[in-house]
Amino acid sequence: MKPLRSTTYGPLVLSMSLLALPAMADDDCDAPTRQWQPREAVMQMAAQQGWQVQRLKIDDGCYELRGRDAQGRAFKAKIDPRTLSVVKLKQRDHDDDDDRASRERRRDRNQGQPQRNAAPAETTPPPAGGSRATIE
Amino acid sequence: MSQPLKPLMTTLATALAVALPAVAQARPVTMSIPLKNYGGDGAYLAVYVTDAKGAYVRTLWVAGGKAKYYKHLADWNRLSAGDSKRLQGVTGASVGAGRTLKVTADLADALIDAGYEIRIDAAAEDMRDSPSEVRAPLNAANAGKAHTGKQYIQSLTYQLP
Repeated sequence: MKPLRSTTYGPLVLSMSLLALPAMADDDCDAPTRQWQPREAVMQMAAQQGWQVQRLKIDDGCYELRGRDAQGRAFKAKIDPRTLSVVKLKQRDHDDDDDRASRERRRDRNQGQPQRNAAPAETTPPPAGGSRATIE
Repeated sequence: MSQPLKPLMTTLATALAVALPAVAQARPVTMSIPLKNYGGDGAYLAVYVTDAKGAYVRTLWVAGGKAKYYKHLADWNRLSAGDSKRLQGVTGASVGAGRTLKVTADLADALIDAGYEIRIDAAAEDMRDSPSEVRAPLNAANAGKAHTGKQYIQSLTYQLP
């Protein structure tokens, strides 16, 4: 058997890797907890940016900040907990912010409430066979 | 044909006669779900079937992979809470604004023209949730017709073979 040559298969492997990238792209953070910087460091970084932080929480393995930036615009930022670099930043105008705030209040109210309308029993057994889907 | 094979062939023929009608009772329903250009992140969608009384029957597709966001697909999440297999083999990526989700699902003939509905819940990050955004009666008369959505979904059109 002839040995595999990297010059022959390298481009193929590279192109397959590039094809896989969009499906793997994500804005999650994956730093192990022992490498996390403390919340105080996040608040310090935010202050250096001129951000007024209204909420700091952890989401998808990242720090998530909500507040207003130096220009007074509402923003949401995902921060890498190890490097404190900004993974994702979204800025919103005032109307969107008001809408979001009311939605968050409603969501907070609903949290912890029992699921009162449990799923009723199926009236027809589901047929065998799965589903397929594509996005175009 | 040799004598020992005859019982085997008879058994096979009987098994086929029993199995074939069961196969014929399901048919692939194709759904086309174009989204509006709503100007936000990819939408989470739950496509499912309810009966005439609004009871959950089956999940056809869930677009969006993070379970923590499923609570925003509120109607589907509530109705299907008792179905431990609701996500088996029916999940995929969220759908970007302006893109089209196409789903093919095998549905029992008993679900067609019997008062069942295809429903879609929709949600996108930092935007308003839209439970039961589309409700389309599952019958031959509605096949091929566009059922318009309220917020994220341009329309749902399904085809029956």
